[in-house]
Amino acid sequence: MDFLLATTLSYLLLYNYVALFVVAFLAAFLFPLPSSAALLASGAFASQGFLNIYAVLIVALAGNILGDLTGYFLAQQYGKEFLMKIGFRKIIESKSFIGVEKILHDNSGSTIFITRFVGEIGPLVNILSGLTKMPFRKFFLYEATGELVYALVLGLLGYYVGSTWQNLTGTIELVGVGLIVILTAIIFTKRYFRKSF
Amino acid sequence: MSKRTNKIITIVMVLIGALSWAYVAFRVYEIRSHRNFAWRSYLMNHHHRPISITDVSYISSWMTFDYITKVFKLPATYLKDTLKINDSKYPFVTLEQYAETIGTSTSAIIGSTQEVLRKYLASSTLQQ
Repeated sequence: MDFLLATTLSYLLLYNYVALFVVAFLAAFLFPLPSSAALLASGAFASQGFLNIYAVLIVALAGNILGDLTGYFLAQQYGKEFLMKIGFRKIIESKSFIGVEKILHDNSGSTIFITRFVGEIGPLVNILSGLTKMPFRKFFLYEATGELVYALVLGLLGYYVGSTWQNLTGTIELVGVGLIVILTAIIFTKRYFRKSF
Repeated sequence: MSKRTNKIITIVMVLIGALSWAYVAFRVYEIRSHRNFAWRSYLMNHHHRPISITDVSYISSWMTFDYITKVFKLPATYLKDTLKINDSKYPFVTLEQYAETIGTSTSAIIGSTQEVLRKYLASSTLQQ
């Protein structure tokens, strides 16, 4: 087990729901923390009677949603200005960035929903959504729905498998990669149908 | 193609993809851990009831004495008394932290904890 995951689990056992909230929030915001494994483990701890499964789901959901919204709002308010100041003006004003903006807005639902399940990509999508001024209601609808499904799936999966949850951590990463492949397929398929019809 | 058709295609593809992956991942897990899940009986047996564990190999360095005591259903000071722990933070200290405090290896602490757990589980099984 890697050091970061072991440390996260220790904090979960020492500080329970506060640690779970902090990990979920920071991972959804920007930091590369093992939030999927932490939620899976928390579900398992709940099945063992150490935590309460309802509290685990609510706390994880709250942390994830607040982390997403923090990244979105900070990027929306200060993102472009900050990036331009530190020398990214050419990238922000480039055709490639405008292309990314278009892809994101045309596929906002599937992109935001699916990337909730991929820890490293989700925060980047939040920031891009803020930078490209995606309407808040649209962003929140798909983001909250995705986080709800994510919290339920992982939390209940951990609750179901109990003490053998560690066997699933590798599988979850594989599922995350698979979801990115699916998302890419969706985007290209829609573009193909649009051109053909 | 209309927006509505677009949306339907997206939703259907996402659902199919997600279900396929969930099934594949589940089968992989089932094969790797040599289990056959019986959904209904599992839920009926474990709903609203904490699941205790009896496999001492589950013990890891990131676990706290508090956690081990609760999930193995030990008496509150069992580990403190049998392992002669004097750490003021007990039971809210991990095995790794405790090993560092007393200047021993983590594997030694894990081994000692597993040993006392085996004895406790063996004696509680005999009593039953």
